Amino acid sequence: MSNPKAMSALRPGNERISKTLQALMSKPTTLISGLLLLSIVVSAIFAPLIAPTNPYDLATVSILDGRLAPGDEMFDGTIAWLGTDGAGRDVLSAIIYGLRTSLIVAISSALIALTVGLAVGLTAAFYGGRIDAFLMRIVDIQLSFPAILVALVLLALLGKGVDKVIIALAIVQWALYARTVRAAAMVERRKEYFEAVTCLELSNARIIWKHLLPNSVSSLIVLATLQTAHSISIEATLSFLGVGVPITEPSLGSLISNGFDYVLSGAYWITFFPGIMLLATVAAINIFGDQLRAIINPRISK
Amino acid sequence: MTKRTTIAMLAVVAAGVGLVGGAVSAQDLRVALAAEPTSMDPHYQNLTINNSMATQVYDALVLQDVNQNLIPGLAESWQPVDGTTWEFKLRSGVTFHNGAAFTAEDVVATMQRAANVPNSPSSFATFIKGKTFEIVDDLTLRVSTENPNPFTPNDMSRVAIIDSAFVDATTEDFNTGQAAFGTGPFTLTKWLPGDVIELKRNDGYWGAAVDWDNVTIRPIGDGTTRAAALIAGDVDFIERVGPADLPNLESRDGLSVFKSVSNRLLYMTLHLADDRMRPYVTDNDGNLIASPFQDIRVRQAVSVAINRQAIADRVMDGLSAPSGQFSPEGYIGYSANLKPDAYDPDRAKELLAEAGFSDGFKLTIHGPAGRYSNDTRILEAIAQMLSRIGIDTSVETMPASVFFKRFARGGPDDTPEFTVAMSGYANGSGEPSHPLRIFIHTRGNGYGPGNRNGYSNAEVDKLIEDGRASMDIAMGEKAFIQATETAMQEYALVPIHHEIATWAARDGVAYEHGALDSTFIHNIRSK
Repeated sequence: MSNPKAMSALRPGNERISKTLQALMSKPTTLISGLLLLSIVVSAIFAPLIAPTNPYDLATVSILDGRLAPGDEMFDGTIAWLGTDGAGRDVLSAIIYGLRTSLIVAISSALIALTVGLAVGLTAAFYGGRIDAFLMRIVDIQLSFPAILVALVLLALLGKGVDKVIIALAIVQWALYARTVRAAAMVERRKEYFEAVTCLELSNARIIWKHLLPNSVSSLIVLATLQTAHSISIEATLSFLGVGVPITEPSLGSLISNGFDYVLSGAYWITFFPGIMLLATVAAINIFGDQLRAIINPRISK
Repeated sequence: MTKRTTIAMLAVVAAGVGLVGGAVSAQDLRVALAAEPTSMDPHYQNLTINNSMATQVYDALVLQDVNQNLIPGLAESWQPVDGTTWEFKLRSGVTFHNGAAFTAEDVVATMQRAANVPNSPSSFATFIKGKTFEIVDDLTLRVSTENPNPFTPNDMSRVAIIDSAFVDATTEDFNTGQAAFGTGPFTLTKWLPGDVIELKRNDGYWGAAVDWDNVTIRPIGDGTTRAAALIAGDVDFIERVGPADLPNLESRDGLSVFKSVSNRLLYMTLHLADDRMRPYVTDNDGNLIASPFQDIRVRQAVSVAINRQAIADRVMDGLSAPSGQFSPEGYIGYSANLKPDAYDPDRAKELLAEAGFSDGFKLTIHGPAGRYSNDTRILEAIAQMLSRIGIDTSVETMPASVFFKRFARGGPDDTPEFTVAMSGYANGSGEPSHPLRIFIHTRGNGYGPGNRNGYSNAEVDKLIEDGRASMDIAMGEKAFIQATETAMQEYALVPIHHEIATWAARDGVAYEHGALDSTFIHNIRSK
């Protein structure tokens, strides 16, 4: 096991990345989901340039434009290709901006949760014993509550706002990362190279940082991808329930909820298009994540 | 399933029921209401639905018409006999459903019971405490108070009269029907909580006879289900038609919809006092500033910046009436001189500039989510309209229970919290000084519990107090209208609209409606 091949797996070099990319591109499903993902991320980043109107600028949004059907012309002459919602926001623009909010929330909370989870997981795996038992019981307790319930309670305490949703989602997710990274690190700890490293009398910090971390992290890449999709869904659910982002800056979830009351009166587009976008985003990330796992984990790809 | 197929299917079902159900007597009525009473004890809880149900089985000394004007009930007439005493002449020849004759004795027994019902969530004692009841003869009763009280007849209109034989009856006795004998237009025949209330015509009723032999009332909480039940012919009459179902019911043959401007007002309060509150109003750089709304021009700017008609058309689907005061037209306390402010964003900008806010400021407005019809959407629309005139506005909504607590005492030392908040008000008792006493009078000494923005005008206070201390009701009402006019012209609060209440019925059934959004079965008519 302690041969050069294993070492190359520790520090993924350029060659490995290009191989992974090549493998990803070779499958049509991956290619399509990858391209979809790329276009979603690009449009979210460049939302102010791409969106026809700014749906968060209350001085330009007008309820007089409310519930226009797809293709109708708004008061200022802009065509609302996907219609407008009850408050008079262009649904297309609102989707692009909402996507941005959803992605910011999902990615930031995933990064925070990942960092905390890594620290806890590695500490538990490295020190073992009581520290391990203590940390893992906290993780157990955290994981025994349904994510959506914990998030609801947290947001009820914290109040509304994008920052608060990020905090709530990070708290909901860190335990999952901690559990996963601990498992991976425990495996690494029993390997021969690790015994060798321990014999060198390096500092604990250096061992964890330079050796344990890089070897345990690969399983997290896939988890982080899938969890991002999960965060988007949770955020959408929270906003749908009215406890997420402020009503004047809707995310995908609040757009869907916004239009829900109008479905019966025929204004389907307020709910339908954001719903399709949410579905496409989550599906693209999930498919991409699955393929990534298949490639990174040789046991599945062969 | 698409909406069209649903409608088509419902139509088929409705047609089927129509064919089979043709034999049902025209004098039986089936009603679906949005909620049911918490008890059949008319003195258990002072709650709108309980009170409106109680008026079917019981009478009060004084009754209220659909616009809450006082009309004779078990008392044929009433008048003050001195500065603190009212004399009620009782109706003769009235009997309870159990055959007992109605006398002044029953009124005294009723007051004794109604003020002391155990475990009452909201007691009727508020209408009774402080009053002394004196029987002059069988059909004459005197009610005196320590200070002049012009509203004793209003208070007497809130308490349902029971037979003195049941003065010690428990709430359970009323719920099972053992003690539920009133003098009202219907007798209670059955109550299965959550399922059905059955009423039967009281043939010996002293007043105008009702049109129905038997009435079956079912609670159906969901608006769409209620509408579907009417379409399918399961019920003849429903209350509270949801905005989404309204066009559907209106366009359908064989059904009619009744709309009525209710006395439920939606309004905004703007903080008028000098204290710096939590950072809900800042300059454009985010520094806390004293409330700009101390300047009447800024308050006026907010009012004329609100496009009330657009809110009525686009947010409320036509189910609101723009308003400039507490009362809708035709209702007690209405002033013909107060019109809703016309929408004029240019004037609003001018006013802001005159007040020294030509660059505007930043503001967070608060309101409840889900308490009033379309509340969060209205807040969003108002935020848009204020942003248009340069007030950079954001909205924060919260569940009603949280909102009302913070609205009343979320600030330092239990003071009100919000700089600008939207809330609602409906005059439950029909007492004309009520909104002024609660919202307009300077806070303190039992006055102004709802005056959360610090409005204070000694002249207005005096009008309210004088009106409440005079036994001359006509003079009092004049004083109240004058106080209302001054307060509204000074934007003590900014009225937005009155909600419009809705009912729907099959052809052949009509509803006599007024400013109250609750449903009174005896006002449902056959035609």
